Amino acid sequence: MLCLRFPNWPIQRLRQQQSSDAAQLTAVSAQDVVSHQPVAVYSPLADPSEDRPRRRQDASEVDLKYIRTLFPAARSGPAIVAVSEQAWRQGIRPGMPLAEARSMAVPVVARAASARRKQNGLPEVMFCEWQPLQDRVALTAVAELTRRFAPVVGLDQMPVPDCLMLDITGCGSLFGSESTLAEQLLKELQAAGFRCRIAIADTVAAVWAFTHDDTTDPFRSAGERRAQGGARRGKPGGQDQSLNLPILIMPPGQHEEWLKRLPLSSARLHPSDIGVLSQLGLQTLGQLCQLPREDLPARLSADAVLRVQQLVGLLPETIDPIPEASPVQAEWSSEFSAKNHSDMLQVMEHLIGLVCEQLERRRLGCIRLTCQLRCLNDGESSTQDAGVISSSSVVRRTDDPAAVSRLAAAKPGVSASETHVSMQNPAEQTLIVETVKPTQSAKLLTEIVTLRLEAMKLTLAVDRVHMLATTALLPVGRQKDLFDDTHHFVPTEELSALVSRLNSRLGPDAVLIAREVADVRPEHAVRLLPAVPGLDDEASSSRREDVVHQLVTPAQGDGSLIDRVKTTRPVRLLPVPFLLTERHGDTLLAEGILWQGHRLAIRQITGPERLQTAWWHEDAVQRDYYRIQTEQGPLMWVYRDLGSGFWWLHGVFD
Amino acid sequence: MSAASADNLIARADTMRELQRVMLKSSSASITQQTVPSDLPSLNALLPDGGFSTASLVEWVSDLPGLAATTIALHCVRPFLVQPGCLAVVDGHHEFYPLAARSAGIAFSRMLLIRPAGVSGRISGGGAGRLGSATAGSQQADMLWSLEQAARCPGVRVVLCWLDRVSATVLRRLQLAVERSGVTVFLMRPPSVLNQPSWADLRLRVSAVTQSCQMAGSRLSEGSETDGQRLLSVRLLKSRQTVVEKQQRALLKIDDETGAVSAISELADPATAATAVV
Repeated sequence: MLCLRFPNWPIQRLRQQQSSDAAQLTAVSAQDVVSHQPVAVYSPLADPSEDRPRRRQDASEVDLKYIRTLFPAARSGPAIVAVSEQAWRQGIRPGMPLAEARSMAVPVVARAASARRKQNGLPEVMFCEWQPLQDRVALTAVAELTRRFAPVVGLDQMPVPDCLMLDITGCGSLFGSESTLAEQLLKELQAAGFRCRIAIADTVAAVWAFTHDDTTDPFRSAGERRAQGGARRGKPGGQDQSLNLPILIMPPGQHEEWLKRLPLSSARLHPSDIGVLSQLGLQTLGQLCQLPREDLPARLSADAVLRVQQLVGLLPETIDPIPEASPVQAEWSSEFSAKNHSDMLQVMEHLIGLVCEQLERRRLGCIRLTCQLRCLNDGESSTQDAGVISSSSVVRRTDDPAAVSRLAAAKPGVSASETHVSMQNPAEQTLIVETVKPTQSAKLLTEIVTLRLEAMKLTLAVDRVHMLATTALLPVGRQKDLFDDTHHFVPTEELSALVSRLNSRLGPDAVLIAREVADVRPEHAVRLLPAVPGLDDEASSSRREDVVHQLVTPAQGDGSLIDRVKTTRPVRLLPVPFLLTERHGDTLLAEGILWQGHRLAIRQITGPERLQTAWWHEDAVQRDYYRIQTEQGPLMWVYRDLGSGFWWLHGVFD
Repeated sequence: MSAASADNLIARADTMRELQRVMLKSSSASITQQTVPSDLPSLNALLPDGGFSTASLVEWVSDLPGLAATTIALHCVRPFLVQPGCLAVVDGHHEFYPLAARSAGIAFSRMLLIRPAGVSGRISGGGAGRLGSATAGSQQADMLWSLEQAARCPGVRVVLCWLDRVSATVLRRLQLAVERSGVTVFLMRPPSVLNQPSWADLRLRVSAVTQSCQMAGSRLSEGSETDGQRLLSVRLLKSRQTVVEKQQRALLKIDDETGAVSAISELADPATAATAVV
C-alpha cells in the first residue's frame, strides 16, 4: 500500500487555484505574490441554514461536523480551519475564532498597523471561506495524476481527507523498484506544484499512520491538529526523525515495530476517543495495542474499535477506488446550423479549446479526436451521401448493415460503435484525426482538423458536433528558450507534428515507412507500412513514438548510417511493368526500346539475373532480369517473363 | 602589354570576383548555414563551399530519366543523415524504390516516404491524361503541399522530390521555407526547366558522357573504363553564392553491378598544358 498525503491540503488547494488564476494574467509578479501571501481558511457560520443557505449545499456535512467537533470555536461562529505558513508566523492558529484571527492580522488601529506592515514588509492576510467539497473534488482530480502508478487509487476514508491511497501491489517491478516508483511519483507531483509525503507499507492503517506522524513539524494544519486531538499533545520524546522524510518505505513485515513508537494521533481515531485514551495515560500506539481487545468496546466508539483492529491486522482493509474520470469530451449544438467549412472551423476551434482545457487540467495528451457530426436530415438530404468518414477520408453510405460490417472489418480506424451510430442515423458522420504523440496543443489539433475538414465534403448542414478525445499520458516536457525557440527545436517533436499533418490531409496510406521483406519478387521485397499505425491496442502509442524516434536518430557508433549494400536494384520501380514487346529478344535488340516517344538504341545488355518463386506459390513468377544500357545513356531494368516470353520494363536506374 | 600590367589585370579580376562572391553570400545568408561535403571529392570541388549547404534548394537537372541523377543525389544525402533528422522522399509518382537507397548507405529506418495520391507514372508516361483535370490538379496540389510541409519541418534533414514544371511562386515559397527550417531540398527536374528562372541555390546538370564525347573532348585518367560502368558529368549551372565558370564539371563513374558511385579525375589536355608552360 502507498499513502500519498498532502499536508495542509485546504491551503495547497487554494494556492493551486490562485496560481492558475494568476497564470492567466501571465504575470510572474502576480504568481510570486500568490505563493507568498498569507492565507487563512475559516469555517462557515455555525448554522448556515439560517444565514447562508446556498453555502450549505457546497459543504460536506461530514467534514463540517468533524471540524466543529475538533474546534469548539467553530460551533458558535466562523473559526480558522487551516493557515498558511506565512499566516502561522503572524500568530494565526487553526481553531481560533475568525474575529480573533482578523484582529491579529489587522489590529484595531488599522491604518497605523497597515503602515507598520508596509514598513516591515509584512503582507496582508487573505481570509477565505473553507470549501470542503471543493477540497475533495480537487483531491480526486489529483488522483488522475497517479493513475499510471497504481491500478487502484482511493480517497482517504477519514473526514476532511488529505491523502490518497494507492494499491501498488506488484507495480514496483514496473518501475525498477518501489523506491523508484515513489521517487517518480513524488517528482511528478512536486513538478505539478504539490507538497506531499509518501509512505509504503503492508497495510492501509500503517501507511496512513506513517504519513500523518508529523508531530515534529512546527507548522501544523487543521488536519494535523485533528489527528493530534487538539492542542493537548506535545512532541513525544524519542521520535525517529527518519519518519519525517518525504518518502518512507517500510520493509515487509516490519511496520508493527515502528508503529508502536507513533503517537495516538496516527491511529485514525475520533478526537473524543483520543481524549478517553489520553485520560487513561496512553500516548503511543504501542500502548494502545497492548490493551485487552475485549475491553475496547466498552471504552471506545465502534469506529475506534474497528480502527484498532485494522491497525493490529485483525481485520483486512481495502481501498475504495475512485472511479475513472469521465472521458475528455466536448459538445456543440445550436439551432443555427453550420453550413460551410468556415462555420465548421469555428465550431471545431471552440470544441478543441474546451478539450485542451480538460487535457491540461488532467495532465493528459490527446492522441485521437473523434468528432461525430449530426447533419440536418431534410427531405433533400436523404439522397445525399452521408455516412462514415474514415481515417482515409472515404465517404461511404452506411444504410446497408452488411456494408457497415464490412467497413468496420476493413477499416481499423472505424470502430463498430461508430458504424453502429451511423447506421442508426444516416445523417451522422464521424471524423477522426490522430496525432503521432500525445499532445495538448490546441494549435496542432486545430491544424490537423482543419486539414481533414478541407478534404471532407460537407454536403449537409451540421447542427451538433460531439468531440471525444482518446487520451494518453503526456510525454515529459522540455524547457524552452525564453526569447526565441526557433533554434531549440526537438527533431522528434517537429517530425511528429509533420507526420500528424500529412496523415491528416493525405491519409495514413500516404505517409509510409519501408521494411524489407524476404521475397525475391522486387515489387514485394519492400513492404510499405503506415508511419502512424492504428490505435489497435495500448502499445500503439509507444510504437508511433518509436517510429519517429528511429527516423530522427542516427545510428549508434561512429555516427555513420549503414554500410552501403551492393545492389542492382533500380531507384525507380514501376508499380505496373511496362510492356516492351511481345516478340523475341532479338527483335528488341535490333529495334531498341520505344519509350516516352523516343526510340532508344541498345548499346549493351547485362544479365540475366533469374528471379523465380517456388512453384507452389500463389503468384509464382519466373523472370530473367537484364540491365539494358542505351546509347543515349539511360540504364533500364528489363525482364523477360519466362512463362509468356514477353519483355517488360520494370525499372530505371535513375 | 607588359608582364606587370597583365599581373595587375589578373589581380583586379580576382578582387572583383571575390567581392562579387562576398556580396552574393551576404545577401543570401539569412540563417546560419552549414556545409555538408559529399563523399565525392570532385563534386565537392565543383560546389562553392566545398559541399552542399543546409537550408538550401538544390536542383538536379537530368538530361534523360535513367541517367542516375537520383543515385548521385542519394549518395550526397548520406552525409546529411549523420546528424539527427530524416530523409523525406516526396514521391508523387509512386515509383521510388527504397531498396536502391540502401546502396547509398541510407537505412530504411531513416526514410519517410510521402506518397500523395498517385499522379501518374513518370517512367511509363501518360497517366495524367487519363485523369480528370480537376483530380490531377488536386493531386498536384497535394504533392506540392506535402513538399512544402516537409521543407518547413526542422525534423527533416533532406527532402528528395521529383518535380516537373512549376511556377516560380512555388519555388520561391520552397526557398523561404528552407531558409526558415534549415532543411536541404533536392529537386530532381527534367531538362525542360532549363529555360526557366529558378530560386534554387544550386542548379546541377547531369549528363551522360558518351564515347563520342570522350573522343572529342577530354582525356580520362586510368581506371575509367566503361565496361559495366557509366560515366556521367555533373555541371554547375547556377549558384547563388558564386560566379559559375562554364567549363567546370565533375566526372563520376557508376558501377552498374554494385550501384557504387565514385569520382574520376580528368587529365589536362596536353596541348593546353604545353601552351600554359610556354
